[in-house]
Amino acid sequence: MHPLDFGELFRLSPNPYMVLDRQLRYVTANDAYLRSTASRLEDIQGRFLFDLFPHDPKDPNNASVQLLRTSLERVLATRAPDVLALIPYRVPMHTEKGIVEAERFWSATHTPLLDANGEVAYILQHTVDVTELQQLKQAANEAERRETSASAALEAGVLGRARKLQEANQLLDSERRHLLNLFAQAPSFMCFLRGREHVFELANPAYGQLVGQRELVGKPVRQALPEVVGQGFVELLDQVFTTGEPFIGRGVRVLLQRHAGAPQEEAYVDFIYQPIQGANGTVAGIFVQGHDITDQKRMEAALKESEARFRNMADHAPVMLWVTDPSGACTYLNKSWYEFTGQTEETGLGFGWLAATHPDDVKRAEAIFLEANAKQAPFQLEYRLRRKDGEYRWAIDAASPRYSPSGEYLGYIGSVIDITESKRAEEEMRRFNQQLERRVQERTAALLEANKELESFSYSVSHDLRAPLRHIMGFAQLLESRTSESLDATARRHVKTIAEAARQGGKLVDDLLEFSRMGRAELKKAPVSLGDLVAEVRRELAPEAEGRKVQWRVGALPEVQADPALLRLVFKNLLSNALKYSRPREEALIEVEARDGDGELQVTVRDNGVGFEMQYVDKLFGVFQRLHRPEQFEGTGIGLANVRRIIARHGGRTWAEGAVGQGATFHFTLPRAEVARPLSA
Amino acid sequence: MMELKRVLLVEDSPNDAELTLEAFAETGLANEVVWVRDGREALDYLFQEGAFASRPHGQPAVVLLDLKMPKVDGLQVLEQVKNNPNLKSVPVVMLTSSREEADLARSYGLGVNAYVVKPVGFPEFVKALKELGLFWAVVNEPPPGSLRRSNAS
Repeated sequence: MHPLDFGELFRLSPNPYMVLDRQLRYVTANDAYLRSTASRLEDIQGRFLFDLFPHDPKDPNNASVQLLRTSLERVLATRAPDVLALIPYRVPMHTEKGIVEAERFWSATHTPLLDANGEVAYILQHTVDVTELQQLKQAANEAERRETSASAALEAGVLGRARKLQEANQLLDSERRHLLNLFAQAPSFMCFLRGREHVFELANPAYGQLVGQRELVGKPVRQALPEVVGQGFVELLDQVFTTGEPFIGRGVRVLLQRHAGAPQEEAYVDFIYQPIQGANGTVAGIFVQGHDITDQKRMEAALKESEARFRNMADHAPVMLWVTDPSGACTYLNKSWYEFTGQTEETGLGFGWLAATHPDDVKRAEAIFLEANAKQAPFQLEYRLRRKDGEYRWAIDAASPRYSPSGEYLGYIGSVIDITESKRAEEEMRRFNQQLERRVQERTAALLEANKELESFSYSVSHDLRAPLRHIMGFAQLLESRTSESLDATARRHVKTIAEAARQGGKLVDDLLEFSRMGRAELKKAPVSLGDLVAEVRRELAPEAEGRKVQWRVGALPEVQADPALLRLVFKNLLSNALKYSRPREEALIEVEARDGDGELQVTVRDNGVGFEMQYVDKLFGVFQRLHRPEQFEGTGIGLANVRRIIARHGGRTWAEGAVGQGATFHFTLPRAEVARPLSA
Repeated sequence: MMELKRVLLVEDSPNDAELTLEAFAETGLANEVVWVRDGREALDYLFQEGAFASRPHGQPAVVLLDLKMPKVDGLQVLEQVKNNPNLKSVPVVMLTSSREEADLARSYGLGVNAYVVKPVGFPEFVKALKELGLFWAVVNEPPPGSLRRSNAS
């Protein structure tokens, strides 16, 4: 005997059948279906149902399409067959005039075809063309209007009941789906355990998350969650099932396998075991619902830990710390404060701290504190705080307002430091400074006195030392002029020498006095044109150049801010030196130039005179230091010392270069600030 | 014969005084020079007091005044001369070794007519005195009441 060929059976069935996939695309259809829709299999395979048969192309979402789609979606969602008792739907049909679209009535059954996993793989549609029956019903209705037709009425009654059943089905179905959605999307974990063995019948995704997405449905609790056995939960379930009394657990610790393969983790849950009565009034199962509060618990613990840490830190801080509430009452004082004051929480908290404040300071301290508190402003104040030994110590108290994360004022946190020692040190420092100041004054007075003495010494020197020199010279010259005949040549030479020596002595005294004056005289700065100054000095020195060939090369010289008289002396010294030491030259060449240096003006005076040995350059600017014998070149050796002193007093530098027989070059600088106007050619 | 203007020399140093007198001699100016040794004597002379109570009337054509002297110094003499209505018109020339600015300033502040620093060299000293003498004793017309140059005949 051959086995039945179901494919052939399907194809040849007189009833129209077609098969859709989950996307509602045609998979196949039998001959009867193709006939009643005037279609060919190859034209419909793979095509979307509603593209092919839209019922009303002008309105893609028409009522018939909606009806049909809803039925098919129901099958997909429930995995159960669905019946459409009556649906008007337009499809093509064969007529004598060819293929036309005609309004027709159908009755359809949609059956899910499940795959190995129990999921809907296909939907089988069995449909019956009830157009004629419907037409019959309409005819009957018309006849009824004329004369009651018993058979037509009967027919209409059957159809009406079918429709009502269909509507009730749809309503129930939509409610069930709504509940299932709620269950699935609920943020709290939920499951339903059926029977004495607490078999998982339903569990929502939140529950899955709690237990590491394990396969639960159909398994008893002991088997599905082996790790909870022995933690008391199964016993609780047993109890709820037996007594019918719900159980509520709060913050209950449970060890769970939260990730496959990972070690068990600690979790905290709030939950309820709610017994559910079956139809016969006995407990059929337990509805479990709850929240995973592990994170919350951890945060609480962390917060507690952090608070404890800060309290520990505050208590052991070397400074005294305090905290107030918005009313200003002190709610916390650290250990340092209690240890310092010797007070207790009873005496210190609230406004008790004021009692430890010095009676003379308490009013001011309280006023400042309360005013700041009213303004919620930071503050700092100093007062005397009584130490436990009874001594009042100066303290500095600084505080900042505290705010909650939402910006609400919470009071102050403040710190107190004993500043008695630093205050004492400050006082000592002040006393020391005063002493220092006094000593400076004394020293200054002594210096002024010394200066005065020095001045009077200079005065004496100028007056008393010059006078005898003048006398020696005067009388020597008188002697020379009166007795020239009676003296021999040697005696005359002696007299001349006496006069000359006295003159030299006088000159030395004058120069020394001038040098000392240079150091003391106040600088009287004014704009000075270096060009004019050089020209004047040249005129002044003209007698020294008389009868000599002297070539002057004076470059562009700027205007500077300097003491005109002193600067004039500088040029007089430098230019007269240049003239003096170039005397042996047939033609003297003297150059004066200025150039901008790095932040300063540099002036150079150069001659082609006898020069000097560079190894003695350091002696050039010393007082009474000479590099030439008087019979070679006259002088007291004070000129360049004056130059250096004057330039130094203007904030500049002086130096020289030279070589024997190759002339000398003298440089000096003036700081840029001294240069009033830039160089101009 | 012409009576020459009198010059009052106030000088504590005999050496300086001698040199000054020598210098005057060298200049060829034959004015009578009255030499007093300190400020006290100078004031006595000018006010016709003490040793000079019976001196001839009339004030000198010029007073050559040293600055630094015992008892009453040159500045004090100058001050008294210039503060006295009868004497303030008498020309006073400081003839001194000091070039100190303070001395210069104080002298001019008190109304000195000239300030001469004695040159170190004798020839220069003679030259300076010659010029001084020429100006004050010959060229300058003294205020009324001074001894005038007059014709004896």
